Amino acid sequence: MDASGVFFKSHSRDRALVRTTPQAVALLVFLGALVLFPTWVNERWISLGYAMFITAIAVIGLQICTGYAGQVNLGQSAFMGVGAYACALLLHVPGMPLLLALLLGGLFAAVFGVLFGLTAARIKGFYLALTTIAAQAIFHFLVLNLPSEWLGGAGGLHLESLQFMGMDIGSDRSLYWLSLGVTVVMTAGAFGIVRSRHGRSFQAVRDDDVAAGMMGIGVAATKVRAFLVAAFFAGVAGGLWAIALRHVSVEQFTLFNSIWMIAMMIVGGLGSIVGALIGTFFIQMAREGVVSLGPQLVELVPSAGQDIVFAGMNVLLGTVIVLFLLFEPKGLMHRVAIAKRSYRLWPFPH
Amino acid sequence: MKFIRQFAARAAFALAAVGAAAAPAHAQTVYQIPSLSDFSGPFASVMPFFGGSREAVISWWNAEEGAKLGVKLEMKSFDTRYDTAQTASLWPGVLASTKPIIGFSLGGPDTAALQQRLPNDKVPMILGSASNGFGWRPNQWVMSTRPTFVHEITGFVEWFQKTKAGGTRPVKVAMFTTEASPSFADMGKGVIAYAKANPKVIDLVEMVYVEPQPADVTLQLRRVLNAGAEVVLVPASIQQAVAVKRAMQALGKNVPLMFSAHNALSVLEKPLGGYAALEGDYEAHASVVTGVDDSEARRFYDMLVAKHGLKAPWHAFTGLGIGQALVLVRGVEAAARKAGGDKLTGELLHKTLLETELPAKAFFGFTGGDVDFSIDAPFPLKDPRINIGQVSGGKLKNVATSVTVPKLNKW
Amino acid sequence: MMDFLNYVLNGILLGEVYALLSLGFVVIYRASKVFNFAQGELMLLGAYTVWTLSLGANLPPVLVVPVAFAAALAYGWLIERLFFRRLVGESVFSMVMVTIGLVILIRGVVLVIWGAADRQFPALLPTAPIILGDLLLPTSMVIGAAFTVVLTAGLWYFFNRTRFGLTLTAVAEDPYTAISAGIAVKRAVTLAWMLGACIATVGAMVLLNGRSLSVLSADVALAALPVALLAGLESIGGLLLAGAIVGVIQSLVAAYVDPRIGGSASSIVPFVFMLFILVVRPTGLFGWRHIERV
Repeated sequence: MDASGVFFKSHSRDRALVRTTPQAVALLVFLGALVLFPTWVNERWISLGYAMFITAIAVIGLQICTGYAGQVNLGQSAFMGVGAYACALLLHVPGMPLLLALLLGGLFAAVFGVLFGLTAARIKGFYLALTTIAAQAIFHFLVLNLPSEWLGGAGGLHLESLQFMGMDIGSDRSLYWLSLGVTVVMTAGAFGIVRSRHGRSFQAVRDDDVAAGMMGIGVAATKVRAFLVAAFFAGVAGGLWAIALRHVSVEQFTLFNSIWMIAMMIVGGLGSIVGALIGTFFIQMAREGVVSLGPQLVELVPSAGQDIVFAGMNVLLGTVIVLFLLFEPKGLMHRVAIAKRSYRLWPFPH
Repeated sequence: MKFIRQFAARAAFALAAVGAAAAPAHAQTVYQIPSLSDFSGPFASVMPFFGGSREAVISWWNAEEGAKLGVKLEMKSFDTRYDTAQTASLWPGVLASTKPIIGFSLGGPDTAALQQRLPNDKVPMILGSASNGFGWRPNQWVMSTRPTFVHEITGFVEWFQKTKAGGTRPVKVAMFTTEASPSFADMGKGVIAYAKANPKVIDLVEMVYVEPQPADVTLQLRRVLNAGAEVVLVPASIQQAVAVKRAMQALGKNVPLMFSAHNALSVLEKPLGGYAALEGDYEAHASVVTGVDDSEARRFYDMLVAKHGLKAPWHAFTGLGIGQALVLVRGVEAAARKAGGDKLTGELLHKTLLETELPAKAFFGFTGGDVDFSIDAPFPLKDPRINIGQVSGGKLKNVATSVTVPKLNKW
Repeated sequence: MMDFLNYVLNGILLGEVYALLSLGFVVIYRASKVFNFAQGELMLLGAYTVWTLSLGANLPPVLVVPVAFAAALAYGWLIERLFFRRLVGESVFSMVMVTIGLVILIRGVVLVIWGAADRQFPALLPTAPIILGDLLLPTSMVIGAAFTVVLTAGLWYFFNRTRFGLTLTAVAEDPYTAISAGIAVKRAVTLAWMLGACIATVGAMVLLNGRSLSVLSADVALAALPVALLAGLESIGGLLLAGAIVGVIQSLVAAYVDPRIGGSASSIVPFVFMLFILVVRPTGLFGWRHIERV
């Protein structure tokens, strides 16, 4: 809801995403801070940053498919893998512009996603969730068993150093800025999708697909579209991952990764793009915390033994996620929305 | 007069220069060595063996050789969880905080994450595990102390054919592996290629693919035994090794099995309840066979336990860790001798490792043979050797050391 | 011919053991509409308990089995009490996410308590295979398959013919209506989880018999997934048939196709087959079809 006293005199302003000037200013300041981030932190945070951006793109795609359209998707990591492989293959073509390879990688992944989207037209609920697990298994099998000249087989694909607009983007900083740019573009695109009639069809199908069908929405087409969007986002994220690591292999895209992405989406809050971003940030920081605190804890309590401390920290992470789900199943965005609302209504209670 | 004054000035200057040059020999340059470890992933249980042996060897070298060269190595551990993404995001921080000249790698995921960027970051890494066929590319900066698994396996097959099968006819061999992990899948492909190219040496009865944790392999084992397999290779996972062993026991047969370093006999002893179950089985790899023999390696290990606080038992993973650490410190030593202990850089170390042949005796038997890296491959390609051990009389013994392996083409 | 028969029979046996694991999925789903992703981890808990009792405390097998069952009942009760009691009536999706969180949690707990080393799993069932001429049947799997059949029959009877079993179904359908009809919902859900944990322990004893045990053993639950989906998530009797089908397909593909292509098609053929069947019958072979009303 808008703060008291804010009103608009034209339809387009009423519908705008960024509603008031202070909000626009805050957004610009935030983006500026993100751009300047690498200049005042050490390298660890920069690589963490672009890893977070890449994951966030995939989670946004997942949010559109699962949070907005209600189609449970446990194969997001496989779609990422398809995009990564496609992008890596395309980048072997001499003279291929980086962004074009990224885009085409995303489109390849989208095609793969559409195949599974077609099953979604028939299969619902848990069965759908579990067929997307089949996507993971099939991806793994295909990559390992297709001829090595095509997809690199067991060893994966390697990329030599890449050029973007004439500059070498091997350094962590340039990777950070590239991923930041792509993330901003993809997030804007995501907002565009969910606020359009397609987004509304997604939500209608999520809420009650039989009723949506009766009102004239093409339910099967909508579901396929949801998977297409999710896979496209995942494919772009995978392409960025290939560019960042310059090495893709099958073990980077496992079922566990898909599960973590779902966890990020849930922690952030289903049905909100900003929630996807917040959830990704939260979970990645938590994992980072576990990794960094571990060695210090070991030094504090040497009798515990390294393996117990690290295993214990994973227990902690799992517990945090579970506790979160128990006590705030609607995710962090719900808390944020409550906070925003009570701030705007203050001093009134409702 | 002027001449004498000039001479005195030059002499004083020369003396000062000599003095300055001599001084660093007493001052020590400290280099931090990142040790990529796994404390919460699949290898967490064996990390104490690795980490402990790395520490102990570094402490020994600092005292013995490092002090003479003015070099002190400090090891810093980082948890990679055996995960590529984690390693990739950890690495820039490692680079910035330790400014390493060389580091300890752990396995597949960190090789995958770092391979492409190490030539830019200019830090070579030493890997204690065997290489893979798909890692066999030129100009690598992650250097493995062992050749590929396929080299180790085929070396064993050739040795077995010569010594146990008469050497005149091809030996019938079967192998179990899995597709679930690229390393293990690569083993299968490599051995199949070798069998095709060497029909006079090996008759590959079947390459059996099962899950890494198979429920029961009795049927598959019976199939290969019926086809006449004289030795069964199980170099993949520990669980597969245990399953094949149990199947062999269930069938009441006694065909020898062969294992690799990570599922070596000392590792399998626990899940199988003792060495008696492994009677007659082999392990073959380019690391030390941790048997009961009183070997140079065993004495070195005892010394590390006595003087440098090594707590890990005499076990395959300890052997791997010590071997890896020895290669690393010998590389640093060679570079320091050439260029001076205070001038070491990653690039210099990489060059030294490529150019220097490190003799086998520098490693007290912890490697197969000499360690001689070349630009063509991330492992000693010129003449890698393996060690073969066998359980006989209920004890693990060294059967053959420094066995040659066949020259393989890439597969 | 004998070989073919061998593969088929062994495939059926393996499939029935998968069906045993899937029973855990189905029981919990039938009684609470929650798909328990952590079934493999429950199996892990049961397996490590059996190890502790048998090789750690050296109890005779006659004692190990009942104590392990009691421990499994305790685990099921504990998990339900701690996590799922609060979620009664919440969206099913949240409950499933909690099970996913449990996957990470239980693995971590196992690592902390028992450590990550591979260890020997006791052979509570005989390891010598049954050999009838050319036929070779692993004894533990025969016993496991027989047990599956008996257990399935018993559970089918329980869920479909006894009063309490029917109330479990009612609870899954709509907990609030069940409460208003006077059904003890909490007791029903607790019982479902305790049963699920017990079945997981039995599955562990059969599957890991005499072999090695480590944290990675939980991944076998993933192989049991196609069986559960093929049968339909609510169908208990259907598991026997689905298990047999998936087992036979996997076994035949492993025997005849894998050596030819030099790869492991047997691991994904069950998934592909399951996909085909689901497209034709979206709720599995015997799953319930729901009438959706607007």
